[in-house]
Amino acid sequence: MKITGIAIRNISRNVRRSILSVTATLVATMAIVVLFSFIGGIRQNIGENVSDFISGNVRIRNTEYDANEYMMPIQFRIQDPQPLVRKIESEPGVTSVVERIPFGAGVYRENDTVPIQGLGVDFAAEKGFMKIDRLLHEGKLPEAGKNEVVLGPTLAKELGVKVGDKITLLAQTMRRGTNAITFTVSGIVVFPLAGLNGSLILAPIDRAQRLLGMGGAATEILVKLDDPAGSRAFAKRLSSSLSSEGYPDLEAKSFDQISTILSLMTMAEVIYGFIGLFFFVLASTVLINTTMMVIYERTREIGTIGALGMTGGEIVRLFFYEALTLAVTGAVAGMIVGGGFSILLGNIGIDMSDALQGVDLSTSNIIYPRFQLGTTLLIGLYSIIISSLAAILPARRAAKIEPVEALRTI
Amino acid sequence: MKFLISLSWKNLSRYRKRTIITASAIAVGLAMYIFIDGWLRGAENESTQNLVTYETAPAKIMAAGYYENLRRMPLQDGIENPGPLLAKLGSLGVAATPRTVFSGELILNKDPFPENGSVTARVIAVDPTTDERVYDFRNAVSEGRYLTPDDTGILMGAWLAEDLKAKVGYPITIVTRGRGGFYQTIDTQIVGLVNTPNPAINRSLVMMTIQAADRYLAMKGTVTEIDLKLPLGGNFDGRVEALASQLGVPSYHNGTASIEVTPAPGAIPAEGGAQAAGGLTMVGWRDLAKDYLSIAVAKQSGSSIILILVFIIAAVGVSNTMLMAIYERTREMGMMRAMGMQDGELRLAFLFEAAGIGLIGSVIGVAAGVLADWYMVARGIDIFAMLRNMDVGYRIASVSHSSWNPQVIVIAFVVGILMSVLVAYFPTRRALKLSITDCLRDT
Repeated sequence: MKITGIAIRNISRNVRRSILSVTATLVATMAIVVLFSFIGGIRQNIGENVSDFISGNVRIRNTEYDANEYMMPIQFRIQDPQPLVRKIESEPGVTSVVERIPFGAGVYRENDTVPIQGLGVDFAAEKGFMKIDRLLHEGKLPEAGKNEVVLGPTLAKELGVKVGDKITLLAQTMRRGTNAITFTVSGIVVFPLAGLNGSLILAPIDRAQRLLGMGGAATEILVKLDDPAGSRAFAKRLSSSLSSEGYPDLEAKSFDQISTILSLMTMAEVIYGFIGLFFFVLASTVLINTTMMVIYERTREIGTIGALGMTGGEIVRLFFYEALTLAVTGAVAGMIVGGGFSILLGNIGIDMSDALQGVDLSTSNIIYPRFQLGTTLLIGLYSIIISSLAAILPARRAAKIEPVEALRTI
Repeated sequence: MKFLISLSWKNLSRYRKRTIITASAIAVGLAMYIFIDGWLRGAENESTQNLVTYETAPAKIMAAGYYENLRRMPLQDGIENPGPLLAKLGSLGVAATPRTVFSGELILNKDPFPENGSVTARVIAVDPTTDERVYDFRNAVSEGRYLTPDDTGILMGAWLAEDLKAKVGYPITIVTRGRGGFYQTIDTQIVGLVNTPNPAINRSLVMMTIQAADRYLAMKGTVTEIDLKLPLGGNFDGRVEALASQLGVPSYHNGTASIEVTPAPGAIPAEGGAQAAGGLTMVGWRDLAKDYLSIAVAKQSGSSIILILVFIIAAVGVSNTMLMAIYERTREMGMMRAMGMQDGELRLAFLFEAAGIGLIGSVIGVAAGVLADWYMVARGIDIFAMLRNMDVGYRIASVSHSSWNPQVIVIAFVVGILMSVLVAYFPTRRALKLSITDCLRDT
């Protein structure tokens, strides 16, 4: 108690020094918190876009289709998907379920055919899945049963079409015949992924089935869960129930089991891991330097209290308490400032559209940094541990010096 | 003055510990900044290099109408009779090669492929004898062989082949539309696989000879682009401008054609940008890159945000240690003033000392940064070798290299010294404003 009391008094006695020492911890903590929020924002953004537009949290496909997905072998389909969609919807923890048909097609023009990515969707269900109604920029969404499509603004410009114009889609059917349907462009939708704006056309799923000669079948069923962390377990459970309930050729996979997405995410994780590591090294040297400086400059003081009769152990403890108090203050302030900054940026967003020019990763143009409490607390704890440990070594050295020697240093 | 310098020097060597701690704060900050900057720059350079070597070339000449509709690849907007232009480029000493790029649907049939299916692809038709002047595909062939001038086969990107489970020798049918809009079916086979450091190419490349494409698509000698090799560094845009005006074609910048160029006699100018059908335009890789697929990992990670954060930490580290070093010596300053040293002299002595610490720190920091850079430039680290045991989908062979950035190294060196002096100035001034007795009482 006595020692902690002295420690507190020491801190308030030399305010300037305390402030400097706190600043170091504060800035180091803050910078790392901001960096990790930024990284967290990118990660969440990739996750959301992948789940909205590519894989859902869990994806059900025909095993054969999945094995050869790059050839788009639409003959491997989910027959009569509606009962299955209803059944999964009724399961606990499921937010939204949709059926989709991705297909390759060409927009027929006089002299050439423009390749596009088609996606047959159930527009009513997609309001709850990809939030299609919020993406609509102009016109209206297609109605089921009508030959209507919506497309991205970049593609619309390239094709020279406006709302109300007609386009003809040309595609290979399930049985490798060629089929064409003329659609009216009912609206323009702006996707959060620049890549999709220049290539994707959304059509009602019944029209896609007609174009591809698929009857009532779909290619995939995507499931969104209340808690994406449970995707893997849900996929496993779903897979086993599929085979026992008369769908032996179907398989459910969670988004992180899909290899292309996995490779993208792993790559991002590794790069961010490296950057994070460098930050910790740099921040640690700043913390260690500042703390060592504080102790070193006080060798004379240590000599004085040593001469007055304080033991070595007590001196070390005194300086450790002091450093600990300063570190906790700095780390807490750093977490608050960094957290506040992250939350602020998280609301405004960082416009990366210049930086992301020509990049075709699954990130949106605007990144919203994401404040994560757990990570922030860990970073704060790390700063506290480094700063207070860094005090022990020089304090021990100083405590060992003869008081007379210590008093001589200026 | 000589006395002041020698006093500062004595102080530096007398308080060895303080000098070491402060200088090391500067050194670590600078070294880290130089290293991270070099690394991020290296990653960006590498992706630029991959883009230019395998996708965009440094610059391309295209018909204006073709460039306007680059993704649609309209064959009717081609460069008719490219011979004279190629000859002129040759006489100017610019390496050039013609290419025709068109979209087609690859039809895959069961046996030998595992299933029936189809994929749309961008087919690049090259002249195998001249393509190497600009691109580097011959050395990227990982299986099978490169194209020959009378070849009817195709090269395929290694990842695309892996995805399609295609092997060398497999037959493929390409359905496309020729010049004028007629349908054409090209029966061909894979003669080689290409594995480049460019992921976009590995995932999408389908390449045939321009001779075969000319025949199948009834191009009658028309090509869709002429790709040029120009040195990338320095004033690249200026070089593009100069060459474009020599050729009498407008060059393209940030989406608008430059209008200063006076077309040479015989060249048809592109009016109001690109509508005129016969007009040619020259486009540099930066403008081309917008329409290509390459992945710039460095940009993706927001390098400027990272560098700012690194700078903040380093700057706080340097200024904190320095401030502390000077503040703690108020007492010493009081003593020197009491002994009769002039304020101006004292200030100078302390600033010299700060500059000395800055110099030591900067020298060590720059040396360490340069050393780390040198290793990363010469050897690089294979990030993904560490992931060998993980299933990352593709086999990404990606050794990450750094790039030299002399400008940042010099700036870091100067900033290291200047910042030390600047930071030292304030506490020195404060101590000099206090009365001598106050100075001496200060602990």
